[in-house]
Parts: sequence; structure tokens; C-alpha cells
Amino acid sequence: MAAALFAASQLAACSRTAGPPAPPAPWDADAARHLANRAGFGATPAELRAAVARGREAEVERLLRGGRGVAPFAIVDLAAIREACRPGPPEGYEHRLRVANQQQLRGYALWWIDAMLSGADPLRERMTLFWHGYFTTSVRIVRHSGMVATQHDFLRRNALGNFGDLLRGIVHDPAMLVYLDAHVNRAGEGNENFARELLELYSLGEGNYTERDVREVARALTGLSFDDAGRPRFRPEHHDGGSKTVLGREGRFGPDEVVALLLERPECARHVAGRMLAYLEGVPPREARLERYARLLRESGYELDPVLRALFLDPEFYRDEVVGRRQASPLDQYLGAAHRCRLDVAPLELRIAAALAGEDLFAPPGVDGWPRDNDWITTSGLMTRANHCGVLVGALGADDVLRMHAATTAEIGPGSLRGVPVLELPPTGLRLVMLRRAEEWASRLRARDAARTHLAPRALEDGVRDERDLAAWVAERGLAIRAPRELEADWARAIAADRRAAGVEDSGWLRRPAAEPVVRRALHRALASPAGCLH
Amino acid sequence: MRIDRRSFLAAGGGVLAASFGAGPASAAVRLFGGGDERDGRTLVLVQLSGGNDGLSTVVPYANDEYRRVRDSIRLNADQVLALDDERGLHGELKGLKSMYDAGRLAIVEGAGYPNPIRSHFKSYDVWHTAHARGRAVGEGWVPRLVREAFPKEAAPERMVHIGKQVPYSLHSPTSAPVAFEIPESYRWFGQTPEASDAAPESTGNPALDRLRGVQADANASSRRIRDAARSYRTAADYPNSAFGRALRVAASLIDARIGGRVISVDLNGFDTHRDQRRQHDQLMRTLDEGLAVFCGDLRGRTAGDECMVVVFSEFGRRVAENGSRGTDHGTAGPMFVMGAPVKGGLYGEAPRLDRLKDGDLVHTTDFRSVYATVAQRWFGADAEAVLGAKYPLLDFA
Repeated sequence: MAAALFAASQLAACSRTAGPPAPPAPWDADAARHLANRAGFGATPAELRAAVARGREAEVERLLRGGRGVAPFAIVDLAAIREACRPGPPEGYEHRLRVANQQQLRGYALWWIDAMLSGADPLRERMTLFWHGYFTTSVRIVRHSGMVATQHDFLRRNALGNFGDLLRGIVHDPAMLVYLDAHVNRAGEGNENFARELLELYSLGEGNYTERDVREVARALTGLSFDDAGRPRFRPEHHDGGSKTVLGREGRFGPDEVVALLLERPECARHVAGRMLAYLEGVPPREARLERYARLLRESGYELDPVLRALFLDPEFYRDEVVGRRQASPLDQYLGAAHRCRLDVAPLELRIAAALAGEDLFAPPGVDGWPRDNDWITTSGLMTRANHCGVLVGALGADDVLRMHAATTAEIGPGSLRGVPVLELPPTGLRLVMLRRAEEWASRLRARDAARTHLAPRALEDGVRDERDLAAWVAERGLAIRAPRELEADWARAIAADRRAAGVEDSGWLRRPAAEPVVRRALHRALASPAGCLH
Repeated sequence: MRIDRRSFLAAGGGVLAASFGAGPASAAVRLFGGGDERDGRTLVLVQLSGGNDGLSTVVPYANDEYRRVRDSIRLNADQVLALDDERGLHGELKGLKSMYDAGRLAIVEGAGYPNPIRSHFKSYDVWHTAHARGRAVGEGWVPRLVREAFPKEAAPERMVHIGKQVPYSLHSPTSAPVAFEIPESYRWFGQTPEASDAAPESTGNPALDRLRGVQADANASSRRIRDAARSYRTAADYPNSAFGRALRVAASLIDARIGGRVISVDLNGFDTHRDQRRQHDQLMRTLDEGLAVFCGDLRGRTAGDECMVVVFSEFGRRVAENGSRGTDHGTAGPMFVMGAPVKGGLYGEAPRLDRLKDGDLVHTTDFRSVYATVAQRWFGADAEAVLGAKYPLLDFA
């Protein structure tokens, strides 16, 4: 209650200093759709109607309060997983351990995607995905699934909490320590990797600290480590207890003192607020607005709740520059389509599809996480997503998946002889991982083809009668944004041609089995369009 | 009759080819006006991602200070391929060494820029935009180069990235780069989305308009890219690494002359904070194997005379090794420029190990001098217009 009062007073303070208030944006289906896209992973027409009826404030409060949540995942820690892998021939131990780690992480990833799909707590999942990219850690380097899952669980629990708690926790987080070599950063044996990223990516931002600060922070962070179970453990024997000068302050600082110093800096609140706004709006905030949100964050003691509330109620969040113009990440796109169309897809399919399109959960491509803002789409990125959407709606099948991701068979490799491809070398490394995933996806599709969602009856249920209705239906269900009218007209023409080709031109056509491929194709066409990549 | 450079060379333009790299605005460039649509001059950019340790690449193996501060990770005299009695190439760089010996590899020592940034991302932004302001410029340096050098060309494939993460150097506010990893997968499945007849030029949503442009580029380039890769015939034995495959695809695009002007590839894993030797040795081997086969493959072809390769990284690493047998982020490092049109040798100046700033090397050559030389002497473009400032040219081209 006290927190809510505090937040309300902050908001008031915020609007006082914001200059003349912007005219209130209308709260209609477009606004509700925008909020659902960015604060979650999209909404069905029925959910949008409910949100509009509820009113903006009530909808924002509903998102912040969160839902019933999902049953927790029981994480097996490092020691337990080792113990479980012990029985058996010793030479197979490493292999068993690797498999067990892969299985646990896969289970955890599917559990999380299921939570995102369920729509039970959309804002928490949205912000967890944000923090997962912000405090990047990759399982490819960390290797221990228990550590990675534990870090993620920590981020998820604090996703809507307090940034100070996040920063204080992450500094001791074993997965983070391994990822950035902090556990080998010892007194007299310094390693600056974590110190630099802590300053640059996690708190102040580049340009707001000196090279000396990096070195001194690295000294202050010595001694961070973990025990055999993979739990945080500070090792005083490795800590450099001498005096350090950090950001102009002198003292015998350790990790916690450094975090406190960072949180004191106004640059820290600016950095965090800037990243949050850029993520949720899709464009970096302008100076005055950034400063306003940074102050809100600082003055609330780094509570995230007031910032999110202020943002979702801010008329500027609903401005033309923002609405419908953010490039969806692959997961944004697939989850949104699956939710709106009620596609019958398993979390495994979504995980694989996203990974193959460059969004491999728990294995971001670099230290700064996934591509930011509007950097996702390339020519092949657009194609890959379009192709994957075709699979998700059932317009494409298992063989297509294999051909899409064929690693060797279709490609002419090294050492072709007189123009004849002779390469049959197995793929290696990451490519092998991706090929395996495509194979897994294909075999999954083969196993469940018969049970696939029948989209035609759904369209019929929603009142679709002719190609114009169907074009409007795929636009509304398939896209996260409102489609330009001209597109719908094009799609209606294409659907009419498909109907002719399929011989289903009578009025009861949607009840005929031959209508199903026409509907799938129509939905694929919408999802594969450039509008399908925006939200 | 319009004579294109390819048939000219095939008809015995040896004298002309020999004059490549012979100084400012070489004969061929002048002859074809620097903007001719039909010649095949191509730049291949090889990015060593993560910050390549320059001191383990061009090694000051005889330097006492180097030996002292690199106690556990240094390369000794018998682990380098000596260039002279002070410096040598990393022992794995055998292919590069023979290119150097044949006068086809230019090594630009101490490349960097003023006020060096040790953040991967911000330093990349400087390299990718050729500007201290980084992304605030709003465009990578490559589109500027291509626009200046080939103002009439518009094929989407004029800039291609082969790999996963597209570098900002190819970024343009008006179009997305043609980027892909596997040519055979560079296609639509099921149905090819067609450009709408009815859709207006602008939808009123700039993000959507941009993506429609990307889609049109994807449509236009998909078949040409796949055809080029599929029909490529070579005896060259490319290594089966992501890097080797990417170079093979690059060679096929160059050979097919589909209009590629700049082709970008990258090699990842240079952020060696821990246990550097093993990783870095492996990376050097991968780099060398790939580039040696690539350059050898092109050498026998017309395309070989028309292709220049530039190798760079976002920064070098700290001079002294850290406490984990690795190195932290540093500053200057060597660049490589190679290919038939390159005049090999050592350029720039080796950075001094006895004159460090904050424990880091001080750069001796601005990396933009390399860009400027490529732009001016190789592409015949106005380097100042491309880079927004004047940089001294080097004599490798």
C-alpha cells in the first residue's frame, strides 16, 4: 500500500515537471493492442475488447499486479546433477553430465516458453526477456544448466521489482561470474572482463567511467566465486583488500560497496531507464523524456513498478512514432501469432523456430545480448521468419523444415570435383546444433501432423464467409499491427485464386476439407508479409 | 562498343593489371572512370570479432619488454614466422606468410584511432562508421563508399554479409543489407510474397515501408545468390569451418559477378580474457587456412585481379597479460590488406612497447587511412567524401 502511494506521488511529481501535459491518447482497440504487444506478447480480439472495457488504468494495474503465475520449475543444482551422473562407467561421465545439463536447460526453456504462451503473467515474462538480454549470460560458455536456470529464475522473480536488487544479486551470480571470467579474477591475478561490462553494459554506460575505474573495480570484485553446488560464495583469500579509488571515491571497497557506488550515480538510472524505454518503445528516448524517467527511477529508489506504470500511462507511449513500428524479435512474432490465432504449437517448436531465426534462449550471440531496437531484420531474416510462420500455421511441413535448414546436402562444399559436389562432410559446431534442431522440429511435425489445428473451423466460428472476410480475419489474427487496407484487398484476391484452384467456391466452402489449405495459405501470406514482423 | 574490364583483361590487359597499385588513381581506374558499372572490383572485409590480440598476430618476438609482460602467453622465436629480426607473424599464419613473401600481403602496423574506446560495441561503431561519433552518424561507412564509387549501381547485392551478425558498417537508413548464412536456405518456402500492385509507395508507417524494401531486395537477390553459389566450380579445398564456408560463398559471388562491391565475413571468438594461447592459436589457424585457400582460389581467375581483402578487429589487447593467462581489452593492432592488386610489405609503424599510455599501445596509423586508400586508389572514389575527413593515403594500393 505504502509503495502504491509512493508511486502515485512520484507520478504526480513526474507530471508536474513534464511541461504542459500531452493530450490524453484515446483508449481504444489500437491502444490496447499496442500495450498488449509491448507489455506482453499480443492479445486476441476478445482480450482487446475486455481491455478496452476495463479502461487503461485498470488494464495497466492488471498487468503490473500479474496473474496467477505458473507452477515453479524445480532446478537441479550443480552438485546434485554431478551426483546423478556418477553411476556408470567413469569414461562416460562427462558425456552423461553434458546430456543431463542439456536436458535440464531444455526443460527449463520449454517451461518458460510455456509460461510466455500461457499469458498468465505477460508483463513479468516480457520484462524477464528484457533482463535476460540486459544481463546477458550464455550457456555456451557457462555450461552448467543449474547455474543458468538459477540466474534466470532470479531475473524472473525480480523482473518487476527493484533494479538495485537485480544489480546487487547479479554481481554474486555464479552464471554471470563464469560468463565474464569474474571467478578467476583474483588479487594479484586480475581479469577486467566483468568489471568493464558491469560499468559499461549493466550500470553507467560507456563514457561515464575512466579506464582507471575499470581497473580499480576489477580489484574490488576479486574474491567473487561459488561453491560446489554452484551457489555464490565469497572467497576472502582471493580478495584484494587494499584501498581503491572508484569514481573519485576512495576506500577498501568490495563488490557490494562498488554496486552501492554505481547505484548512487545519476548515470546509472539514465542508463537503465534508457534501455527500458528503447526496448519497450522501439526507439531510444529523447533527452527530456529520458531525464524524466531516469529521475523517476532514481527517486523511487530504483523501483521498476513506478517506471512501468508511468510509461504505460504516458500518452507519448502511444504516439505514432512508437505504435506498430518496432521490429518484433522472432519470439515476439511467433508467440504473438500463436496466441492470437490459437495455433496448436508446442513450446518446443517455438523454441526451435526462434533459435533458428537467431533468438536462441540462454545463448545470446554476444555480451550485449540480442540485436537491439530495429536491428533484427535482414533480407534472410525476413525470409526465415516467413518460412517459419508457414510451418507454425501448417502451410509448410517437416520436409520444408529440413530443406530450410539443410546444412550440407544442398550445399556444394569444398573440393568439388569436375563440377560435381563431393562434399559430404558432417556439419560442425553451432551449425550441427542448428541442424539437429531442425531435425527435431521435423520429427515433431511428422508425429503430430494429423492432430494439427484446423483453422478453417475457427475462421467459420469467427463469422468468416467469403475471401474478403478471410483476408480481414488473417489480418486481425495474424498481425500484431493494423494492416493497411490495400493489403487486405490484395490478400482477398489471392484467396479467391486459391479457392478457385482448390475447387471450393460454393458458399459452404469453409466446411470442406479442401478449405483448410486455403486458410493456412492465407494466414501464412499475412504472417510472411513485412507487416508480420512489426508489433 | 563498350569495353568492360573483364574482357579487356582477358584479351591481354596484363600491362594494365600490372599497373594496379602503381599509385594514385591507377590506370584502370582512370580508364573506367571509377564509376564504371561493369568492372568487378570487390572489397572483402574480414572482421575478427572480439578484439584480436595484435601482439600475438604480428609478434615483436625479440622484444624484451614483450617477453617480460607476456610471461605465460608469449610466442617465442621458434613459434613465429619471422618477417625480420624484430617481428614475425604468428606461427599458424603460414599462408599469409607466403603471400607476404610473394608481395601480395600488406601489413599495416599499429592501426587504431585517437581516444581509443575499449568497449567492444562502441569501438566497433567507430570502425564501422569511420567516425568518432559512431552510430550517431546514422550510417555505416560501406554504403557511403559504394555510393561514392558506384553512384549508378543499385543492385541489393552490392553489399553482402555472409554470416549471422551483420556489422553496422553495412547499415544504411534506407535499405537493409543482403545477409545470409547458407545460400541454399536463402529463399522463400511455400509461397513467394509478391509486391502488392495496389499498395501505395508509402503506407504512412516508415518501419513498414522499410521492411517492404527489404522484402523486395530479398526477392531480387535470392535467386542470383543461390545460382552463384550452386554453379560455382572450384578445385580449391576450403576448410569445413563457418569461416571457410563463408569465404567459399564469397568467392562464388565474386566469380559470378553479380554486382557485389563489398562482401563482409567475420570470424568470432577473439575476446580471449582467459587461457588465450590455445584459443588464439586455433583462431589464427582458421583465419590463415581460410584466407590462404580463398586467395589461392581467386588467383587463377579474372576475379582475383579484382578483389582486395581487408582484415580488421575492433581493438587489440592490453600489452601485459592478465591474471588468467589471457588479455584484457586494449587499443591498436595490425590490419592486413591482401590480394593481387596489393603492393605487399610493412606499412605504418610498429607501436612502441616502451611508450604505453595507460598500459596500452598508442596507435601509429589511423585505420581510416586504410579505408581512404581503398576508397581512393582501389575504387577511385573521393575518399574525403566517403569518410568525411582527409586521411593520409598508404602506398599498398
